[in-house]
Amino acid sequence: MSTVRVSDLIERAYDEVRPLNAQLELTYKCNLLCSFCYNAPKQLRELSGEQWIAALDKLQAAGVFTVTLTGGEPMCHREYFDIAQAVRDRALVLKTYTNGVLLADRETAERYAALAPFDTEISLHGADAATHDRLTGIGGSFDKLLIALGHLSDLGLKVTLKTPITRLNQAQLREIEQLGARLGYRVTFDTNITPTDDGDLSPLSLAADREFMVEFFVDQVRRGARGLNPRPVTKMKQNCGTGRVGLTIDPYGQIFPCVAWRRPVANILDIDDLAALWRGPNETLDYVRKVAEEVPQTTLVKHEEAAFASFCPAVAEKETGDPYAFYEAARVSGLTRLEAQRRLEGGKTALRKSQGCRGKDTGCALEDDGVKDR
Amino acid sequence: MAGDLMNKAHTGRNIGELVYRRHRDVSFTRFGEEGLIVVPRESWQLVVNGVGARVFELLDGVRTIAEIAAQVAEEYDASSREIINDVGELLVELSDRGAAQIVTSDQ
Ligand SMILES: C[S@@+](CC[C@H](N)C(=O)[O-])C[C@H]1O[C@@H](n2cnc3c(N)ncnc32)[C@H](O)[C@@H]1O
Ligand code: SF4
Repeated sequence: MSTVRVSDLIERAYDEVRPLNAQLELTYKCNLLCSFCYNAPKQLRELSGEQWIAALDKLQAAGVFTVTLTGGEPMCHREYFDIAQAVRDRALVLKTYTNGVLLADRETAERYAALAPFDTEISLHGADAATHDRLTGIGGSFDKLLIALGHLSDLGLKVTLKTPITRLNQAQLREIEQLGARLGYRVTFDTNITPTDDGDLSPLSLAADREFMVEFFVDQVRRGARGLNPRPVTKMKQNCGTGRVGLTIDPYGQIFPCVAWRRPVANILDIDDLAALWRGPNETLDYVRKVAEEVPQTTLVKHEEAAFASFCPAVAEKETGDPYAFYEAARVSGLTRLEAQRRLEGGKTALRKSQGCRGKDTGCALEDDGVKDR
Repeated sequence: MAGDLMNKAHTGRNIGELVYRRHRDVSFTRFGEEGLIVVPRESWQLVVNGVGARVFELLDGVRTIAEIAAQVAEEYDASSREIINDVGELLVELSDRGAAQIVTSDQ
């Protein structure tokens, strides 16, 4: 019916500054204790179900089409199902990011399937209970997750398994993939461990080691992945869509330009017209958009490995205080892929010396599919 | 011809007499002229042009296809006949994907 592709529509949303995707962090409550978790809860009152539902009307009026419920553990919000139902009642596309634990209950899984979610991204941290539970900090979480995945598979739901690669699970990635395949589910590996939202860098100590990452990229390409896809830095109009095509709202109602950049734009409870806010002049939005547009020609062009790097100005700011700085983790992410590319081409190995791997960026300048949220 | 394909496909009636409605699980949004239809249970997305988007908006379970075609023809300054063929094509695809369904007289 049309020669226009979905990617053209997303580009149009970018040009029109339309916040197509909203990521709602319903609660910071969680039933697991992942040591690397980027959440930074505050002592503030979280939004009630009623407040979130009222927020959905404002989001839809501003052009939001996809609503991702996340957290914390979104299903730990007392009114998760009311909020999710309200998303579907508005004919919006529903996605959930979850650790899956509460879906081990069959009735809950059935209730969830009845919402007709478009996608459910579930975190899987290991191929066995010892590894997964060590990363989640809670014994039994792996077994519950497997039960949940069995229910969702029975119920015919689309699930994407998500594995952030860490030192603790890097040796199991093949087995993790096989586990997913047995259930009929694809596993996506996140190569970026990020700092916490309030700037604590300690999660980065869990990032996989550098030589491992080079081998990982080589292996992915040899096994038919799409290739390492260097970005055409000199032609890039922007680094990412921060402050344009998506927004994130935390459990206290603060609106942010994306999941990584925790510069508050406004509180959803205080505004009536989100479209006017998003399209009108706004100091925070104007700033992050300007940075995203300038980064390719100011920062990335200066570094050979930048074409391969996952660069996120929000992480740059957290790590160095300067959103334009080519921070260490971005550099390592670029160098490991560049090195992998050289090995694939049979060239000489040429990893430059660096200060050690501290992790990578948050992935809004998407490595794989253009808009990967965490 | 898609219109002919649809003719009498399910009910022995002409397509123009049929009444369709959007499935309640389906999401739809406009991007200016174009529209995006998303069917979550099928993980399926379809971009439709202005005519397709307008037709989809009008599939309310009450109007017949002929009535929808006439309205869209008027809005787009086209002939109902042309539009009805487009509608037929779209409905084949939407029905296959469970995005729209025929409303039978007993519903
Ligand atoms: C914060 S969680 C929220 C949803 C849900 N509780 C879960 O764990 O899937 C969203 C995703 O971020 C990942 N994650 C958490 N902390 C991270 C970090 N520091 N770096 C990279 N990914 C992280 C989690 O593994 C999960 O896939
Ligand atoms: S990553 Fe998810 S499951 Fe783990 S502690 Fe954070 S919110 Fe909870």
